[in-house]
Amino acid sequence: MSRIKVGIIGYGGSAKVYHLPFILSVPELELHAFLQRSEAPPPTPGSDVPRGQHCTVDFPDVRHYRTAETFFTDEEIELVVICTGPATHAELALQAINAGKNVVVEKPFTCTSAEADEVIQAATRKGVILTVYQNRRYDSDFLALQDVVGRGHLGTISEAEFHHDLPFPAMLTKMTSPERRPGIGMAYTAGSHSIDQALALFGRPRGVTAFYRSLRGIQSDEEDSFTITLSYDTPLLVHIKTNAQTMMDRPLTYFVRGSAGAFVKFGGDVQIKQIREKGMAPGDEGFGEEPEDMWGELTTVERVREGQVGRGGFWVGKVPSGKDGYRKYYRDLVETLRGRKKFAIDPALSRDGIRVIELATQSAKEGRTVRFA
Amino acid sequence: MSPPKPIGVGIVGYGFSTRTFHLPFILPNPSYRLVAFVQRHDAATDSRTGKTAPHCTIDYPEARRYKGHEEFLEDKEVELVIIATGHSSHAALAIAALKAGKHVVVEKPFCCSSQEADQVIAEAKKSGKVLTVFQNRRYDSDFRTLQSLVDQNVFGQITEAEIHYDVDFPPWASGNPGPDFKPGGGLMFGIGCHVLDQAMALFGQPTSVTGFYRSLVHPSKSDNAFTIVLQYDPSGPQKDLLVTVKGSIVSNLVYPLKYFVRGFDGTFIKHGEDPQEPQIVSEGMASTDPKFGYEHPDTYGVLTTSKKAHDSQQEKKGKWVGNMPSLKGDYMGYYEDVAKAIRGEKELVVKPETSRDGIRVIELARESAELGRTLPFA
Repeated sequence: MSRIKVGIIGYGGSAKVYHLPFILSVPELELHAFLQRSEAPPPTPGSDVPRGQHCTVDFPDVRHYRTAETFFTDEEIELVVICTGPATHAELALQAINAGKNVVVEKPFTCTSAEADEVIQAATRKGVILTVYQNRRYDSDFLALQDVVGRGHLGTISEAEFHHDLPFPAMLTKMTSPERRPGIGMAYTAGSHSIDQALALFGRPRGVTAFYRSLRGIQSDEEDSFTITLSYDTPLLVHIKTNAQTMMDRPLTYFVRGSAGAFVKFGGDVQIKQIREKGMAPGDEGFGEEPEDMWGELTTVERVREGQVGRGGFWVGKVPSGKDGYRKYYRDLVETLRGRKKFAIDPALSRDGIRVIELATQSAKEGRTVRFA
Repeated sequence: MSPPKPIGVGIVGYGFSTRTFHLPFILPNPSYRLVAFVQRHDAATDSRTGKTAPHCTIDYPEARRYKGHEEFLEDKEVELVIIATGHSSHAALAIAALKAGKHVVVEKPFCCSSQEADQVIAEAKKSGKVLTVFQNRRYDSDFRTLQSLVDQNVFGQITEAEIHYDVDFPPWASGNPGPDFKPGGGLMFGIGCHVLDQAMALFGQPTSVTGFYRSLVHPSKSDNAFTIVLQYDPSGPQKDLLVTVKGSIVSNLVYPLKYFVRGFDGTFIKHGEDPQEPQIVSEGMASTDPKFGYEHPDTYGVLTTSKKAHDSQQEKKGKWVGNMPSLKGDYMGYYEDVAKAIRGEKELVVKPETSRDGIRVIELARESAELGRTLPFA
């Protein structure tokens, strides 16, 4: 069967670190073309253009387009991956859909839920596959949490905390605008993941309550830290948080409890760190595997899982984290493109995530719980 | 110079609280002398089990026993009254005791409403006697540890503090509360008053309150799970601070999460609980035992800082990380401080105004939850 030809739009950190290593590791996918609108920097006399700066330098053997019009008329492209900033997501997705391409859009899906609705409708009418890079649905520890919840180990869940904290990331220095720009703000940047995880596990909320902060030392409408609380028709309360000034070796990630047990996890998925800091690639030994001492801990009233031991009146044991997840995103997508399976990432849920962000922004401003609608 | 005359103590109520949280910390203290109890019912033996319920006349025959508080309050040897009765009688008994010229320790929750609390405080000002509330968890091992870290400015500017107090389906909170909420009832009054007090001891009065509460298991307007978010003066040094105070009867952890505090310079996360109550109740340990109040190292909190803050830390990837040995839990210190306040030697540590503010936060948290709005603290 012929390989699926992939065209990538954009060549920043997203394309280079979050997509290419995984696309290149899946044999059924073939990297076919790039659309990078900026020119390659001219070579300095006496030296080559450094690698990682331009796709024409790093991937000389694939097609390179400088305009969207020429890129989208390449009939061989079957799957388009949009790795640009959020402001162009909807516009490029619509162009790709109109050209009959299947599309992966980076998170955040779009800047507004109205845009998201438009893109989803266009894809349905055209009959192409549309999805969003909610890759953190394939995080090693999210997979463990999902397994624990899916098997009912926690009973009736009353509280769930999703933390994604950052240790003073460099990106904060670029957030200098005092006014909010479309699709920008930590709720869009990090929240698009953690909100998506919460919606995937617990569904649409009834109410959204949010608190925003700018901790980076400037007055700005663009938050770098947030707390978003989702309330439901059941007693369940979900807290989604990012604090961009958190110094912790293994930050708290998940704390979920219910009538039958509790799951606590520190540290996060290792894939991106392994690529950035250790130069590893998918397929390498140990790629995407968390060290065992970082696995999440499940505490239950009754013994429900292999490996649990009695302690303090409870049954306690580590839950193995999943592994090598982001490659699975693309492998699963191949199955869907071949018509064999429905894809796990439904863009309608990403649309709901954008809606939660819109309501969270409103809630933080108005100091009240806003009904989800 | 001879030691000061011991303060005569009278205790209203002889339940679990009196026997666990008060007597073990009063009796060994030479500043105090046990004078009297009020215990309404006579000693009784259960005909079925043959067991005699605890009674002050059996356990402390040398102390006087009164059946009602009126006669008790006329006892001139009683100088300090400890009110360890059900919540609904706290305010009335406190006022009566103050009017009778006594110093007063009121068990938590101080009162069932901030209005009652204001009345009791006004009475104390008139009488000039010491009025305080048994916010003993200011003397918990883990809180004392956190407070010392805050006092040493280990965190730099604090951006977030989560203070949790979960209890594992205890009998006193697991029954059916009925459909209605009664002021002074529910988990916010039951244990929220502790964690709110801790939040106020650390961060002062908030300027706004956002509340969520739930009744898990039985439908009810009473609460057995709550989340209260406190924010602070938007023009002051705590303008970015977000404090979340939570409690639930669903815990299901060997060591429940207690504190998660972070600032620009460091983070502290701690699980577990103060050991004093289990040491008294389950181990029968004396409060004077050298091991008393010390946690097991398994429950030490993890302190991560940008600069070395404690010997227990080691460098790890440019940060300093270590398990911070917890300070001793010190309920004896509560009563030592009360004696010093009565003698005018030291300012009262647990001020009734702070407890009153805690009750006000609970009232606003309920209202906020019902209205779905953040409310100004007033």
